[in-house]
Amino acid sequence: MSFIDDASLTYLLRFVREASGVELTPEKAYLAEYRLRPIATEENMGDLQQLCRRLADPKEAPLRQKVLDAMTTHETLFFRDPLVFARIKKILQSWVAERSGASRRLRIWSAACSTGQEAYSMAMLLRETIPDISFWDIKILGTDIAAEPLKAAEDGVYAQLHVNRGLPTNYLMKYFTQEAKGWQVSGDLKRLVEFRKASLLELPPQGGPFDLVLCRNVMIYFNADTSRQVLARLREALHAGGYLILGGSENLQNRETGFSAGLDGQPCVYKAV
Amino acid sequence: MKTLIIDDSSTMRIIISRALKDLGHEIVQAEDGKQGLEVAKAQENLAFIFVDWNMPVMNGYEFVVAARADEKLKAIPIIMATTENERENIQKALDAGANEFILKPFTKESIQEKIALILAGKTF
Repeated sequence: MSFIDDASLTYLLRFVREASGVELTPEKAYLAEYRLRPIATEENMGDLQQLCRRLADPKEAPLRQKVLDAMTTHETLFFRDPLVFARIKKILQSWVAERSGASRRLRIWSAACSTGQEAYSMAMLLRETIPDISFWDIKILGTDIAAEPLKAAEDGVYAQLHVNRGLPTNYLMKYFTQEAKGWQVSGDLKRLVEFRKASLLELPPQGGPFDLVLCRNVMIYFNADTSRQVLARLREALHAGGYLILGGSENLQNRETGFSAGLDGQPCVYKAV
Repeated sequence: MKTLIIDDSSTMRIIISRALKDLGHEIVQAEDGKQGLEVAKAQENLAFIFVDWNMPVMNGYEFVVAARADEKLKAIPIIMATTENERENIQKALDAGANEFILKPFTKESIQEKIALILAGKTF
């Protein structure tokens, strides 16, 4: 008997969309089978129909979280698109030049942060860019809807395969210690970063308004309505004059958002107006 | 863009070549550090060098030291692709002039991301 039937797949895709905003098409049936069969087996269920029946029960919160974790994408790496981080460094340098005294405060939000590489990349960039960082009030917030990746982000321990991806080797030496369980992010970075579970479909997280919001390679999973809704929330979360950073291949197109066009020919950097 | 891959394992040379060919690199190869130095010096416009650590005749660390002392090779970015993952040794190779490390096991993406990092320059 097949694991997936049409009605259950429709139910599952609606569940994922309502919980996370992520729009999966029925062609992604293989993904559902590949990612959910192990969960079904673990829970002694034979097919997706049985799994969906339990998802409908609000008391099944842990199972709902597990399915959501499995069906959403957590691909991330350190300093994804290095040229974008070079641009962010320039923005940070302008703030260093402009701000003094009590205005030396920065709030940064890594939205949909997955396993935390982006938040820690920002922490490294800040340490490298701000010479007297101990005189600044800085907080980087990482949020995600998936529980397991967030836990990994909080632990800040990365396997060899992960530190190979995008992390300059001199930063690996400077900001990580080598331990039996993997490469551990240093306390200097951890102090700047906080992780919290939150959905992009809900109100902006506490701790704002933010100077910089990174929401990269996320919009591509949303339909047009959800994208517009999420962009409005991101705008709400930003100071006027703050920046929104999208993924290297994402842009705001013609959406009504309260952002000015991309700067310096980089379509993924937008200023809140 | 021409890249030299130095590794005594032909399998590793093939894996790294495939990732670089996707980026349009032309590949030249050598099987140890000594041969690597000869091949490197014979090339014009070499863009990158990938070098293993543990090899016969001349190892990767010795290659880095020799390349950095050579007028023609001293500025070419060197990426060490190796199982040598001890912190002290990574630092030692960086101090000798290696630009980046990629630690085995690695993926095609991670090789391409290291290239992107070097092409972006020391910008952050």
